[in-house]
Amino acid sequence: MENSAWKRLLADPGPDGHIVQLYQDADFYGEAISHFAAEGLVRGESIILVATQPNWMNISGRLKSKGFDLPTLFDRGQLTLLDATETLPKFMATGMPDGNIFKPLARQTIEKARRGGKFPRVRWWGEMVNVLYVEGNGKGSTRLEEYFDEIAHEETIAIFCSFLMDKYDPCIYDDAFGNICRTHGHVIPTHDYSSHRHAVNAAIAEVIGPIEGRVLRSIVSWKGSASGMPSSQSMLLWVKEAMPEQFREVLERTKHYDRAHPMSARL
Amino acid sequence: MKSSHVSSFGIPGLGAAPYGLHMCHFYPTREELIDGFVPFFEAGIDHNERCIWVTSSPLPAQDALVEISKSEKLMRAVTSGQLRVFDAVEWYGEPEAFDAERAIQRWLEEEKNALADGFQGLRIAGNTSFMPQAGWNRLIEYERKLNDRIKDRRIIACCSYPREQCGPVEILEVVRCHHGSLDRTDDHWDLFLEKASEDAAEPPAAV
Repeated sequence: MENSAWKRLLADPGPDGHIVQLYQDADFYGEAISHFAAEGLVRGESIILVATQPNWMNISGRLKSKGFDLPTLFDRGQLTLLDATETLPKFMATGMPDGNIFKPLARQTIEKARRGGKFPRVRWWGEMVNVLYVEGNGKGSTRLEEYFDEIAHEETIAIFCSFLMDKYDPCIYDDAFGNICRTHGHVIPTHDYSSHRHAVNAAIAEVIGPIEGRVLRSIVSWKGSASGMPSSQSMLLWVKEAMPEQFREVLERTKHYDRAHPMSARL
Repeated sequence: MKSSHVSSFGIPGLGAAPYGLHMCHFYPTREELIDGFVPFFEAGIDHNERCIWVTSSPLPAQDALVEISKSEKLMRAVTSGQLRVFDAVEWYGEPEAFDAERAIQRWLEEEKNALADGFQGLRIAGNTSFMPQAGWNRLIEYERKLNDRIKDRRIIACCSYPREQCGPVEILEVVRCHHGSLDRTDDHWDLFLEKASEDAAEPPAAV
């Protein structure tokens, strides 16, 4: 039940929902994107996908296996495919996205996808932001994400992003993860919420100990803004804020329980 | 006559309790349930509220009534019907068939009846230990809905969770679907209110 939470979210992201997935394996990546697109298609929405060539192979294969006839969808304008590598240079200037070029370009693409009102609702998945992030252009990536967030609200479309990011790398919590939380309404940090929950509980029990006294008081009084993500991920943010000296170890033990022995991490 | 929007907790160290408040509490022992909820309900009686205590292990209804019998005030309230005590399964039904919407409707109906009977409001406490781990998501969904539905009602509610059955993730999850959290250190009780109710910049309690 719990593990279907991200699927429900991607199926019905809301009219201007802005969701991000952190991934490291092609299966979770492809499954999430194809699910987002497929659910939009069956709801009669228009889908815009901005993919690199290798990743399009992954996504298109999954859409075909779900029974979608891609040439027909392209022909009737319900599916729009843009090449991320070719599109990015159109609005990048000295390493940063130029909003004066990007936003009209995005609006034009969305307008075209609506097909004169034939498809009033549009959802967009793209990996241009991730391309910038993977290239090491964190500032450009964040700025482009901010533009996307504005577009989601201004044009009332749902946007889904995928980031190649290791949620167990403590370095991402210094900057990148905070930027992601700031620019997205929902974060999907893992494909298996249940395993992640058990792993976080087990890691905290091992590193911090029983939840009582001052530790309990710290959790119940925590005012951190960690909504829009599974509670297990929020809990890691609490550790970072309230017990920073133990954060790396908690993260390391969570990774251990989550990947190596998910079932042994039960409460 | 205009009714006050504020009652009192009755719990040592805590003052005024606004109607519409939905609190949670992580209890370590049976004794803490007794120490917290006997005065909680005594305050409800003092403020002319209808009181309902939904109990479960380690303090089932029969045992709760034994504790209640030590308070003359509460015993009189039980006799008059102002305070009613139920085992959780008796009140909610079997946990496998727990229906969040039905449970919420029942609380709202009880509030309506309490006001019609001349009470100032409804005070409720429920122990969630009856719900097995498999029903956790349903329970949290219920709490989220209840949190939203009673905030403008003349209801004060406190949900108790056995600390030993909650990992840190579950504790955070429960806190996030209540307006406030009760916490007891030694003999001192505190109420931590949700983010929206306090300064967002306040750091968590130091560990």
